[in-house]
Amino acid sequence: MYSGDESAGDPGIGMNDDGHAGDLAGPHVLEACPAEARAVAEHARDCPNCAAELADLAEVVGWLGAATSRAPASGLRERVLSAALAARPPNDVEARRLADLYRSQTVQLDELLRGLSTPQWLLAPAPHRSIRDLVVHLYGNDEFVATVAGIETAPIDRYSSTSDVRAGWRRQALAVADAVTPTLLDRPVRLAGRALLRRPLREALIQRGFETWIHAEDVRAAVGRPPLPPSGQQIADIIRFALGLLPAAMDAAGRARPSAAIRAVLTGPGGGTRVVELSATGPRPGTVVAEVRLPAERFCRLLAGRLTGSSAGAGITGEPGVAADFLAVAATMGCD
Amino acid sequence: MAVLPDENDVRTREALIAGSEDALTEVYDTHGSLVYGMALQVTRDRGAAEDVTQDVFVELWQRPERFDPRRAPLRGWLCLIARRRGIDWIRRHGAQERTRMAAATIPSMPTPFEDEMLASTAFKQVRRAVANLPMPHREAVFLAFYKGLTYREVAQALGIPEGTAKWRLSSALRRIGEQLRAEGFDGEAA
Repeated sequence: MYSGDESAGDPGIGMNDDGHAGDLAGPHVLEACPAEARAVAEHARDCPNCAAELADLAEVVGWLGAATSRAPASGLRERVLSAALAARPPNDVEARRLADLYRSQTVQLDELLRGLSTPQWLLAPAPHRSIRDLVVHLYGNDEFVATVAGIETAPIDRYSSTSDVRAGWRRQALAVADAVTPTLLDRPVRLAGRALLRRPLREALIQRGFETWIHAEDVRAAVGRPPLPPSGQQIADIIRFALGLLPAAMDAAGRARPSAAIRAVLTGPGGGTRVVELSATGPRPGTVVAEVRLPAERFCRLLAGRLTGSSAGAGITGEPGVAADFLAVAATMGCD
Repeated sequence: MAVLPDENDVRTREALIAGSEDALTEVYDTHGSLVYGMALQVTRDRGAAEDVTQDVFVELWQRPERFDPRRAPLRGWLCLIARRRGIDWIRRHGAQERTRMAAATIPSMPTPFEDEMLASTAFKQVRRAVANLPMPHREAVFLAFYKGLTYREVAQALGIPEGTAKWRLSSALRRIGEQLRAEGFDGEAA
């Protein structure tokens, strides 16, 4: 709740006879008692009971807002973002953050690989024939961003030794993370995967971190280690990246629903509620015809093709066929 | 006052302070409909609601440190800012008789979606909880929340004692909260 400290009013005025907020709690969280706002806020700082009641009621006020939620015209998004960025330019935190996420996934996978025995390198995490093949495949997908970032490293292939494979992949990935600058983020790059899409490097970096994480999960599963979810921030990045590509993917898969949309309610760290258009063409915003609810982390595994709608335990309301198509197309957005 | 802050809200605030354009975009994509809907409900004017929406996000981007996740979730905070800016707009547009006018136009509910299918499960739950309030409570919440009246103005508009107005507002919010929490409402989709 935004405090009413800026409002005029003498401390103590209007409080209940017992000195507590009492029935002023509701007006206070509704900002409907400017004369008493300061007294209530100051009292709540030292009174856990009143603070808890104000917090509870403030949460209810947030829920009340949901009852009037309404999608604005699509053009408003650009107008608002442009006005904000004109009022305060962004800095290079985005470049550093994306590079750090990619670097940290690279370091985690490298630590896993360092501990593998020779027989373990030959384990086959599907669809790859060995962990070595998997790392060579990852190196190949990383090369698209490496080229744009101006990185040249000694090539590796499936005939290289396991130590050369690991070192070559790691060297290239870390060099990319070190080379990322704000100006590079807008540079178009070919994304990994079958779709032959070109997107800005900022999105390609998210995809690199995503693929590096899911392959680390493949390796962990192959050697019997427990899964390790990414950070909430990385989950949020992955979901934003993938859902941005989804309308065109629906078109490409022949499952487009112009003028229809899905509400994805993704719970847990990195989650949130997103309305996703089911075609890149057609009027916007589309009409929400179904709602899909599942934990955000499981949705990331589904995007990577490691889970299906049913194995992810997705809850569906609305039109089940549309939701099934959405989940089926979402599950093809990995890089294998 | 302090509550356990939402982990995502804390991260969002830090990212906004650091100047992350990504975070700004994400906040708009997540809460844009909430802010616009609130502004539209208060102003009843699409152009004004768009202006208010822009003001709210520009203000958040310029001064993200003003948002304190320990006091309330980002959703509730943005909602109140949108409401406040909407009320400012109404005042600027010469609605001196807003108390009388507001009292004369109390609907039974906030304006519903044109298409029920557009409504999320969370939206329907909140609407039902508001609809379940006794009419006097609903009137008081409508005037304070959507029309920006103080509890004293609510009392005046409804011709009731100020103490009664205060009680109705608090009691209404408590009832809504009790019903939604009893239903396991988590606000995820709100």
